Amino acid sequence: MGINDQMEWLNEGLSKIRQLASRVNLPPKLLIPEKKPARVFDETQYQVFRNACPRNCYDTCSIKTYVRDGVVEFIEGDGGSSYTDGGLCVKGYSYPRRQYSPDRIKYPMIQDKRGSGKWRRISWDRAMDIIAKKILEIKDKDGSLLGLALSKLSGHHGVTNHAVEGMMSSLGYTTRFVGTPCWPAGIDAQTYDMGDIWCNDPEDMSEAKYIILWGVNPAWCAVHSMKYIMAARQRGAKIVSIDPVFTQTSAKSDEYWQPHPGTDGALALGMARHILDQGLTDADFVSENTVGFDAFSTYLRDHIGVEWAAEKTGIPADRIRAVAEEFAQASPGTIWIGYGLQRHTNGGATVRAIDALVAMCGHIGKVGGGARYAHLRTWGFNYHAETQSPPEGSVGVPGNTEPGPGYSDRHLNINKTARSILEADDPKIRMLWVSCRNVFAQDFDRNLMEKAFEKLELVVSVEQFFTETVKYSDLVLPVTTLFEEFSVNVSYWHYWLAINEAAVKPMYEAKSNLEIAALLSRKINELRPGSCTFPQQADDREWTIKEFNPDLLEAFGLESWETLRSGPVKMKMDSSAGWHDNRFMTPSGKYEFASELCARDGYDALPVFKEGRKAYDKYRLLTPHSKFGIHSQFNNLDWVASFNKEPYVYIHPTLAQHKGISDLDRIRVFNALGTLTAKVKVSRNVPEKTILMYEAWFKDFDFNVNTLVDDREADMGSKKTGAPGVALHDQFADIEKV
Amino acid sequence: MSPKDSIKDNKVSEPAAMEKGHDPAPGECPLTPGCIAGLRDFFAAVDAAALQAAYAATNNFPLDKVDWQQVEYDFNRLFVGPAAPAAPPYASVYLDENADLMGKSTLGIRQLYNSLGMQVPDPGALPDDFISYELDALLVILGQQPLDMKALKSLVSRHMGAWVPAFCERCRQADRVPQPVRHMVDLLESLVHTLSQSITNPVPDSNSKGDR
Repeated sequence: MGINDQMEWLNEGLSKIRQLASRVNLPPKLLIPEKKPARVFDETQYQVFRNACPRNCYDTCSIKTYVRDGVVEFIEGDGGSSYTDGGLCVKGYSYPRRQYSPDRIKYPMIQDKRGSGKWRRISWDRAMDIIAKKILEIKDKDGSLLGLALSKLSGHHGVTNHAVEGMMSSLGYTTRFVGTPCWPAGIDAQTYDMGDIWCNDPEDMSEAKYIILWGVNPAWCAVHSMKYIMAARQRGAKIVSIDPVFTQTSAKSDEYWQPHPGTDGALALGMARHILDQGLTDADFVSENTVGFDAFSTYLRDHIGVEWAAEKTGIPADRIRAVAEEFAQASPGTIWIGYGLQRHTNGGATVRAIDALVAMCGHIGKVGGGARYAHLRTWGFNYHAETQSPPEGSVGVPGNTEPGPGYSDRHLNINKTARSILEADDPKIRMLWVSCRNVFAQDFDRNLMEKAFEKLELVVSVEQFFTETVKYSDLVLPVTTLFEEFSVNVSYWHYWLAINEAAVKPMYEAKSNLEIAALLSRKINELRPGSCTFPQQADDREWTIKEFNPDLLEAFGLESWETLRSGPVKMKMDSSAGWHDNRFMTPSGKYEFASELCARDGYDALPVFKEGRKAYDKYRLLTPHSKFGIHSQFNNLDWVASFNKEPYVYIHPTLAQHKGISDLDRIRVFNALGTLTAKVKVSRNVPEKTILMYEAWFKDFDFNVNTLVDDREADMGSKKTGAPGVALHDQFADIEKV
Repeated sequence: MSPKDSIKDNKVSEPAAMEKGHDPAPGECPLTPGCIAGLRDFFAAVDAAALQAAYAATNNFPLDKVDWQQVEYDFNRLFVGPAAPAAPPYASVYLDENADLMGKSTLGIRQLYNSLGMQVPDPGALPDDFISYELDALLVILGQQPLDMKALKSLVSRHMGAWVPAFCERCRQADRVPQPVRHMVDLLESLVHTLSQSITNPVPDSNSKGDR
């Protein structure tokens, strides 16, 4: 019987079976339901490893990885960290799907003509040969390596991954995209006010008596913090959620405010004015630990009013007064300042205003209190992987003020990547290395980025999946996941330190960023000795150990890093409160309502109100984070895609009606930068004159929010991160039914 | 016939239980070791030259003029990457409820290789149930004297018979499948089918061991 006859026979038989099945309605008589007692879990059947989620999320979970027969069977949150507390998040639990996805990039591959889809498999040796020759060509043509640019950010943390920056430095002086779209304006603001970012231990939020969650959605983006907020609430604390969008966090709060986006500064100052008027300022704290309060008070009296704030923000005056009084009188109150809040042209000014509100109430330096934003106090690594020297005779941007060769890298603003590539000259950018970053998904003005890429002679992507950036690359190099490399990781929110062990072998030919650096060094030195100082052999585990130093070990009360193999360890702290000693790191040593430094840097000395960006199109466009992904990661995995199937544009019923749009209609969202099409979901969670889309990569959809988002800068960010932030939420667009 | 370097040198000889003296009809696999080796090498090919050589080794179908470079591009798009392969050539994708790599069925096949005294070159890094490894295992089994029917059943009837048809169907549903690939897919399906038939209705032979 031929195959075709076979298939026909089968099909016939199947339809007969289906007919029969549709008529069966008799229950079984002799069989009974299976008795299924719970199976006792036997941990000894597995090899258990420790991992630390490297996704640059608040929660940076400590993970326990269960391996059998060399395969990661499942993972769980490590109960050894009170913050992780044995649980991950919806994304974290999908990790095994990432590790063993058939979609994973397996081999180095080259694209014959960028964007054509014509890919060939090549060996690592061949890939390194192409790359090394290009680098030497650039050096010969330009006399420097400034034509080689690096785009790297937070896509994959773990300290050994700084080998990428190290690799660049070891080749010479190169172009670096510096700054960050993430949190820079707020960092500068807190630096002007207090001298540094030093948030309380989030685990002490359960001690707060009043919690304002301002522009932050922990129920989606920092799920492990919710238990402390809920614990505080159980003890009688009031939870206020301030957000232009009614989020899941808002739903769990006691009071919800929906201010006009970008007016949060006015709201904070309005509350401050009322607190001042009511005599609820913490006079002792202000007089002992701050400078400039008199000037601030004068400003409030002359320029700020509750009615004014109500008008500006859309929040009723009586609520502004009530919450201000409650917050001032709470012992303590705390404000969690989110990062979305400061992604505006006035973002830095806004954070300064909120800091001032917290400070005047004396909530800074208190357990359960604080103007919580972030910290970097657990990051005391050696940065050995990152710190490499350029070869002798390297030339870069002249006029380095530091002692040394008198050259430096060329620094361009990562938030203006597309524009920078197009405008860079003398020398132009010839080659781009992308690692731990998805340029097309996360950088702004996507259509401009396409033009920018046309200028590049060689693009190398180090990746796990076929992102839009890989689509526009010449070479792709497969990189390891967290389970396949040794590293160490910490958080900018909690105070735990966790080792990341290599639980399994790298799949196919994947290599870690560190191994790639060593491999490139070996090849380029073969072709031209002395062209790269990076060691030609590098082992992840050895290099992880090199990151530890006595200060770091002492800070965590560790004899040796090996202790971390039994579980994560928390920093030893005199108090859970940031600034508990009231020794601020400002020039005055005090909290500065009036900051001379801030004025000198071109801003106002006081935390004054600054108007936001004027609308340049019909409706405000908000593109915040989704619960289901970290930027372009996770949503491409089958488990996540199964419940987050496709992108939507969320609009208010009033706007929908006005435009003749119904739920699930297809619409165009458009502005001067570009157009995007997606289905609509009508929702009261968004303000009336707003378009909301969650930024994400849906691998089967043509959906990229950055088609509509430009690179307008935020006010602050240069001081601490090298470039201003981006006004990501000061974007505008129009919509119409397709 | 040029067997790809595998784990140890493969001594391939005419398997005792195969049907002999039967001319294959178009679309039917000529049951020869060369055909199996060619299929193995085709799906494991790293470039156009390897694809062409592997195809020539089976050489069952005439071809219209072929641009082997384009075949390489399409082959990568279907089976390798860097974009998500249209038809991943791994059993667990089709057999396991979870449909990803290194699943239960993968470890089952690993055990089968071990029972033959073999393994994949880098266990844990490379999925054991890659089609080319399974075809290689088939050659190992067929090359053993006397023929181990149990192992053959295990590999072909129970395992390959369960996933290869689905894999071949996935290939056929894909966009722009070039002629050589289509032919090899047909050949592969025919091979598994024909072998399965032979196992169910074997020609009695005193050299075979194991039950029917």
